[in-house]
Amino acid sequence: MSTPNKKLFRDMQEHPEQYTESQLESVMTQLDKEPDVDAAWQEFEAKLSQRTHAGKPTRWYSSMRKIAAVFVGILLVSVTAFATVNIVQRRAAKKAETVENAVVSEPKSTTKVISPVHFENTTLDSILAKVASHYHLSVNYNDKAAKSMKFYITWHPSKGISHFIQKMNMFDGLLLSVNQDTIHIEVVEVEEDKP
Amino acid sequence: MKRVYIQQLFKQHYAKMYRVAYSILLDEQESKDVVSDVFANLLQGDAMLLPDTTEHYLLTSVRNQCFKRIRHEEIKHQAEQFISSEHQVATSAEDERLADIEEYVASCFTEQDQRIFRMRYSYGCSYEEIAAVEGISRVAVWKHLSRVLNSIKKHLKS
Repeated sequence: MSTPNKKLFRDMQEHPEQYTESQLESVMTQLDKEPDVDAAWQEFEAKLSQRTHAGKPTRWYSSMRKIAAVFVGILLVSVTAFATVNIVQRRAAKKAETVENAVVSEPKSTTKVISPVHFENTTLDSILAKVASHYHLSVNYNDKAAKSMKFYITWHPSKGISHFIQKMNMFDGLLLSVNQDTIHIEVVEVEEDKP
Repeated sequence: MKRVYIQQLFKQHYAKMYRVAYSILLDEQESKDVVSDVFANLLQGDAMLLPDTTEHYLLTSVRNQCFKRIRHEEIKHQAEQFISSEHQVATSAEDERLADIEEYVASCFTEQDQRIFRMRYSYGCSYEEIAAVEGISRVAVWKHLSRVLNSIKKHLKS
């Protein structure tokens, strides 16, 4: 059932320098070929039917759904957070075609261990009001304009402030730090792409 | 979720979802299975999908499933083994690691690498589309993605 070329494809992915441009072009064409969606749907229906008759889908689906809901939710928030960065950055126009200001579809299922707070298109001012309050910190902006910047981000109150700071500092143009009992927010220049 | 709605989603998004899976797993059957699993989960579940983010949700789900397979080092196994396995309950540590992929990519790669990664694996763009947006050749796109994917695989296995 495995693709006969899988081993070759993987080698081409791991060592592209060992292949000619023509060979790489060929594999890309193959990977991008349009699948037969109707046939895939029929296959999917048949598979579902088999599972149902086997009488064991419930437990598997139930557990898988919970797992998928949790990590898909977390990752989706991360992805949309980066989308927001791109909008904030001066490259926004160029990226607009591929990076959208998406809204998170929050899964209903969550774990009992983690109770993250999802901020969706929320101003930094509002985000920090909640976060700072939770950690009993005050907030200091070196540029008040930063207050109105909006973000998509998930905050895990169960984790320390450093985790949140680290996550926020992944946004270009913004630098957060904690000094004693204050969160300092600086607006910084965006660097050029690395070579 | 209603079957008829799933069918509509399937027909609309299958091609891109398959593309994402295939370019990570490099195996047709495994890629089909991953996409099917995502829809099966939706069918059995009660997730609410917002129209604006449905595609993003589905593609991210596919990508996660693929990396999960890599994480479990089960790429060489039949899809049925994955489906019937009783040992597929991800630990919170695994979920954390998967959730960390975006941050990992952001911290280890250039902005261009990150853009190309997102275009391919979050938005399901073709190599051709990415090349056009970035103004580079398809081969260059392949090399960018190879570098990122190889690194992620090592990261997941570490």
